[in-house]
Amino acid sequence: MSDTSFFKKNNKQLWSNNLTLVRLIGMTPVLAIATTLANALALGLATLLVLISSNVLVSLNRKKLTEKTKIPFAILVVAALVTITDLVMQAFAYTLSTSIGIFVPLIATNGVIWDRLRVIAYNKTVVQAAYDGLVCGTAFLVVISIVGILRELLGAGTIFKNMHLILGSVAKNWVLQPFGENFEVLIFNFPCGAFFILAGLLAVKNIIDSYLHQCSK
Amino acid sequence: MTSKASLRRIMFISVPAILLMLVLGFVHSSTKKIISSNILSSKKEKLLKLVPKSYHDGDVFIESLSVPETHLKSLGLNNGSDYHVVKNYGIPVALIIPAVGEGYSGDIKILVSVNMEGNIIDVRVTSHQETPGLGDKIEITESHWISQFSGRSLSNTTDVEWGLAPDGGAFDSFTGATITLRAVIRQVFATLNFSDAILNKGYDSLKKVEGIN
Repeated sequence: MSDTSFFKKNNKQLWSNNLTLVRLIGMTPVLAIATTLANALALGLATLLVLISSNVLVSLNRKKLTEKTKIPFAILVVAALVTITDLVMQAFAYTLSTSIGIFVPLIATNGVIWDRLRVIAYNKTVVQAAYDGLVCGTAFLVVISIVGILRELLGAGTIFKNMHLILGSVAKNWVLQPFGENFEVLIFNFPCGAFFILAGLLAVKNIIDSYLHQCSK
Repeated sequence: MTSKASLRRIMFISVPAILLMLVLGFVHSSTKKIISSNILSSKKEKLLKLVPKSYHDGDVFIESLSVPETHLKSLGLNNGSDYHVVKNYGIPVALIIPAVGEGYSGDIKILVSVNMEGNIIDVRVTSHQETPGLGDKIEITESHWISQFSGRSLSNTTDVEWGLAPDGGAFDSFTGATITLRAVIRQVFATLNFSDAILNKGYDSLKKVEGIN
């Protein structure tokens, strides 16, 4: 398989083979923590970074790995990277790290990361592994952000709440309340509401897919 | 399986483990100070929300003292809980006392700030699991019920008045939240009794735990 065909095929992870929307991997953080766009972006970005760096580190050592050492080695790498991410976040974005709390250490159990390690990092070159991490991490980031925006809008009635925690004081006055002061649909603040939103996203994706399919006929 | 292969395997896991351990140690030691100061300043910020600016004008210091064992039970606290003394230029201006009440579905944690005359400055619920839409009216974001306590003291509110209006007390009630509200009132009353004990006895006599600058 030539290099370009790998990259072309890999881009499918963005839409037609999207891990979260098609294969339903890595749903826990999407359901649990994406209550605001700020939370979703923070966790999505942290996952993206861990995904790229773990893919790269495992891929760098892939030739030395045997059947018996590859899983312990990957666990070591992912655990260390996640701990570093957690510590750095606590040091430089403390408020944000308290609001997404336990879900930063839990990145270590994210299915997206382990799926990519299994499929890509053990077999492919460093550049391919890094590219795959970027693509899959971005796909995850986009999905979790969409869920975050919708849940924030429906559950709290705001847009861009707490964005200053990520972007600095510029974003302090970005908060919008399109439905007025007291709008909130309580269910969307809970994980069950997130299920509805994720299901809605799946439905929308399938509608678009079947529409595209008909057009191409 | 030869011993050479298993030795190589051991090496291949332990060397990266040691390397990663060193990296983690470095990250930990370089972020440790920042993280603990972050924790302290967020704790201070949280506490100072209960004491308005009119009580302090700059040089604020919060001293944390352990709650004496004799009062732990009435406040619903665990061993090792702290209460806080807010000092402005070294002079105590307010006490911040935690308490835990038994709500309709689990613990209700509250913080009460009391000034040196024994009047309540403010009460805030810091965590609870009460029913959304009913019991959560104790949160300041949901209703102003909790601000009724401001200005109350043992001298302007008699023991009988520490209850809900239907029970003959001085505080408004909400339908469907009676248990929640009663728990909050009882614990606020308990913190006032505790603050009364401290203010009369002098907090200096109690063990010093830590200070937040």
